[in-house]
Order: sequence, then structure tokens, then C-alpha cells
Amino acid sequence: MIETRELTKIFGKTTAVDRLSIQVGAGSIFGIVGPNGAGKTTLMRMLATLLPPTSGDALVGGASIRRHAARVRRLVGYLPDASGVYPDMTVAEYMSFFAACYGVPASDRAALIGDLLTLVDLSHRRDEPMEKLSPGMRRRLGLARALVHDPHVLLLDDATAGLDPRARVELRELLKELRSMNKTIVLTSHILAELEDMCTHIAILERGRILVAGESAVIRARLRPHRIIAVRFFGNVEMAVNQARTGQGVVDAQLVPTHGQAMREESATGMSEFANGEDGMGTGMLHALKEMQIVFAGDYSDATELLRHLMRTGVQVVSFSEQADSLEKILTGLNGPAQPGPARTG
Amino acid sequence: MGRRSPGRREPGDRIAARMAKLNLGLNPLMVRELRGYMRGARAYAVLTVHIAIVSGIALLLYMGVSLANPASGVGNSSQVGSALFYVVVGLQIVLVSFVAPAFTVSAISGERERHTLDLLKATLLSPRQIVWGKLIPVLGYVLLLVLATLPLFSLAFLLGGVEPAQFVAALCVILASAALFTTLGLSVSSRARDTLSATVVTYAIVVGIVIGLSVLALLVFPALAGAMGRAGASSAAPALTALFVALISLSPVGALVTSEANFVNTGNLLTVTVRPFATSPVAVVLPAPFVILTVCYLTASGILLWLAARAVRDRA
Repeated sequence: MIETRELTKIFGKTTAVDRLSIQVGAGSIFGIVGPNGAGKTTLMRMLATLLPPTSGDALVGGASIRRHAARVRRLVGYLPDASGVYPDMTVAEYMSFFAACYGVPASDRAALIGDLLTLVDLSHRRDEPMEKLSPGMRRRLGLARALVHDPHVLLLDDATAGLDPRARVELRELLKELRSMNKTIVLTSHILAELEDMCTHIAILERGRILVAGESAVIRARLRPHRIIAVRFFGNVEMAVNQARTGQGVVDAQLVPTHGQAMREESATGMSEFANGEDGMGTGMLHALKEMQIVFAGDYSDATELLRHLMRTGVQVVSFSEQADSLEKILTGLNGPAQPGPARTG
Repeated sequence: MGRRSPGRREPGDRIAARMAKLNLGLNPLMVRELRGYMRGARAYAVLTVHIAIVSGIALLLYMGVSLANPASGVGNSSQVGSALFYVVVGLQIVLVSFVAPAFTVSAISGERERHTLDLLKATLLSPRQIVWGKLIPVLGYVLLLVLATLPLFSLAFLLGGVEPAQFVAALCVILASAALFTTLGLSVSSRARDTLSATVVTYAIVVGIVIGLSVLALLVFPALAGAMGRAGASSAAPALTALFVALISLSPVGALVTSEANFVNTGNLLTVTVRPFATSPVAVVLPAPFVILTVCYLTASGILLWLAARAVRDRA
């Protein structure tokens, strides 16, 4: 459904997208993951025909983004990372306006808008001004707007931005439903964990180049040894680290030197005058809080089991989370030459 | 469409709804903007205030002349009519020069600030349709403001002292100025990052055109011509005269004042004959300043529209 051929975009001296060649099959959910500045938004804007490529081309449903922009726009529904609203319009007016902009006949609009608002669970808000919608609702409305001309392809830039966990679950379900309607969906995020259970295929983008791409399960398996789980806890350090190392899926566990720990060590050697709570902020508690990093190769059920295991063995876990910046660490590990051939999916 | 209770529907909504029902292939952005302008009390308040100010000034003028000539009641009615005409035209020029651009300076930059420009560009609307969709409603509204004062023009005709040809010249200047200053605001808005910078740049240019050119033509050039005449450099007179007329013609006030004065003095509406120096044997026949202004402003408006469409297409 989508094929990019050596697609390149250069802004001044910066190459935002660098000879990118990917293929996205019809009916797949293709996630593009990369840190900020990787070129995700530039790629999406080019696919939506909002930005002309410097060189190369992309075909959407066989139509070139360079030569057949109008045809591509009929095929594509685009939800940018910052999806704007018109505060003076009601939800239904907003939808009707964009339906008209996409050439949907006036006679079809009312029913279509009703269906789309039901799909995104906003039908009860249809006559309310848009300024009264929450960010999550606006995001859902943006998705409905992107679907207003029944496009074959959906481009969702930073689709999960600003959504709370519940809204993310709803979005996931919505995307599955859209996939069942044979829509091809391309979405981006800078957090791998947000996409990996939504997408059928994932590509990791850095500095405008695809580092790795393929089926989601394959990519997950490839990246899994690199995932880092940070655990903050009270209690015996050695015992906690040793217990963590025996957990399923754990490759290694290491204590992370924290500010509190460093102060305690200094205090023990008589180097600090402020280690006994002169700061009045419960330094004793701060000293007791430890953090370890677990290099983890398991899946989500393994992670759940590891948490249970730590708590069963007396480790007082305060927080247990995959590090948000683990993608950068993954990228550091993967940061070899980009794949020479096109990344095929679907 | 969003259904409001019948009691809350504004006249603008009803018109837009009827137009939408007709499905005439109207630019949806234009319909949306028209509805935006005409929805609520603002459009009607601006119109009312505008008519009240112009009518109030006309009334004060009429009363002033009446009090100055108590014997005849209204004095020389042709003088009153003429004065009324020039006051109303002057106010209209101020309106189109300084109020009309305010409607377009945020037209594109506002969409950019609201993050809705990309949404529009991703639809089937072309950049040209986006620009026209923004311009036509503003021009329509400005035209409404101008036409709303037509009764005052008719009063001036009733009192005498004004020829229809003068009205035609004034209308050309007003409408051409409206076209230029709205497209200027739109063009600057299409290139500006934010509405504030678009406003500053647009008004700097408007002030330069409306006031700067008049000052330059009426103060600097006569001084320069006088100096050259005293120096005996009469060979440069035709070029200097052409430059003077060109400059005065590009200012709405200058163009209108010189065109009207020429018509009153010579009866010639479309051309002016200029002698740079009183002693000069050279007489240059040129189109009347209001003709030059109309042609130049409409051409510039077309170019600015084209630039705006390009900026919408190319700029993020």
C-alpha cells in the first residue's frame, strides 16, 4: 500500500530523512519508533503530501506523492502530532467542515459523521463547542476527522501523545477495529513500549534512517535483551539484587549509585557533614531508598512475575518501570549501518 | 451539520445552511469563514458602530455649516454636499486602509498557530482555494461596510456639489485599496510565524503607503522641483513629473485628492495634464492618479494572492 523509494528530505544542512526505503503492506499497522529528531514527523508529512521530498519518491496506493498529490490525499487520512481545533465550532460542525473539504457529498455527511462520532465515542458531544473537549477527546475527534473521507491509509503522527493510559487502551482497540476494516495504519512514537503491542510491524528510525524493521514480534524479540527495568526499593541491597538475578527473563541486575547512597558512603568515611538529616527532608529515608537496573529479556508476563517474585522475597518495591529512555539505549546497541535494502512489511 | 435550537440560530447560520443545502460546490472554507464573520453580534456591532461614526461626523458637519450660515439655514448646500462627500470618502479610505487588513493578518498565521493549517492542506483544497476562501469573506464584509454608507453619499448628491464621476473615482480608489490592503495582510500572514509579527509588518507597509507616499509626494517633490527649477534643470522636468504623479498615484489619499481636484478644475476625469514648472513649456498628459492607483493596486493584489498561495503551499 505504501512504498518509499530512497525518500530523502534535507533542511539546510540537516538531513531529516535519508534515502528511506520501506514497504508497508495493505491492512497492516506499521509503527515507526525513534527518538525526537529522528525524522518521523518529516516522513509522515511527506507521505501526507504536506512536504515535498528533496529526492526520492513514495507511492501510496500506487500514486506518487510528487506527481499525484490530490490522488494521495484522497487515499490518506492524516492526524498530525498537534491536531488543531476551531474553538468556535461544534464537534459536528468541525466534522462537517472537513467532510466538505474532502468533497463528501452533503447528503452523505450527517450519517457519516454520526457513525464516526460513535466509533470514537463522541456522539454524546456532537453539539458541544470543541473548546470544551479534553485533550484525549480532541485526539479521538482528530482520528474521526482523519477518517471522514474513508481513506485507505491512516497516518497517525505521535498517536498516543497526550493520552492517559485508559485512552491508550481505547486507541489500541480502535486501531484493531480499523485494521479489521482493512485500513493500513502508519503511526509513530518515541516510546517503543507504546507501539509494540499495537502494531503488526515496527521500524526503528534514527537520524532519518531505518535501523531495523520487520514484524513486531521479531523486532520485540530482537530488542528484548536490551530492555532496562528500573526498580526502586527499600531493604537489603545484596539480597534484592540477588533475588532479581534469579527472576525469569532477567539477564543481569546492578545496583545504581544514587545520591542518597553516595552521601551515606561519604558519611561513613567522615567526608560529609550533612549526611545525618540536616537538610530536614528526611535524609534517612532518602538514604534507605535504593535503585537497581535489571537488564530484562522477558515478556510482559515475565515482568509481572518478576515483580511478584521480588515482593515475595521481602524486597520493598517502591517503583518498577521500564526506563523511558531505553529506546535510546537500544538504538545505541543497534547503531550499526542502516539496512541497505528496503524494509519490507506486510 | 451541528443542529442548534432554532432560537439560537443566527442569520449568518441560516444563510450558510441554505447555501450548503444548495450544494453549489462552494469553497467550504469560504462558507466557514463567512459563517464565522456573520455569527454572533460582533459583525453587526462593527457595522452599527461604523455607520454611527460616519453618520455622526456627517451630522456634525451639516450642523456646523448651518450654524455658520444662520441666515440661509443650511448655507450653500453644494458646499455642504461636497464637504460631506469628501468626509465620507476620507472615512472609507481610513476604514479600508486600517481596518480591512485587521481581518486578514491572522487569516493564515492564525491557522498555523491553531495547528489547523496542516489539516486544511491535507484535504482536497488547493492552496489557491485556501487563500480565496480566506479572502472572499473579508472582502465581502468590507464591501458591506462600504455599501452601508451609500445613503450618506446619496445625501451628498441631494445637496449638490458632487458629480457622479467623482463618486465613481472615489469608489474605484476605495475598492482597489480594500483589495490591496486585504491581500497584503493575507500575503504577510501566509509567510509570518505568528499573527503579531504579521500585524506589525502589514501595518508598517500600510502606513508607508497611505501616509509615507503622500508625504513624500506632497512635501519632498515640490521642494525638489522648486530647487531644480531655480537651477534651470528643466530637461529633467518630464521625468520628475512622471515620478511625482506615480508617487502621488500610489497613495489613496493623494490619488483621490489630485484626481478630484483635476476633475473640478478641468472637467477631465480620466487624464491629467501636468506642467512641472510654471514657466515650463513641457506639458505631460498622464492617466488620472485614481486610474493609475486602481490598475496598480489590482495588479499588486493579484501578485500578493499568488505569493500567498505559494507560501501556503511551501511553508510549514
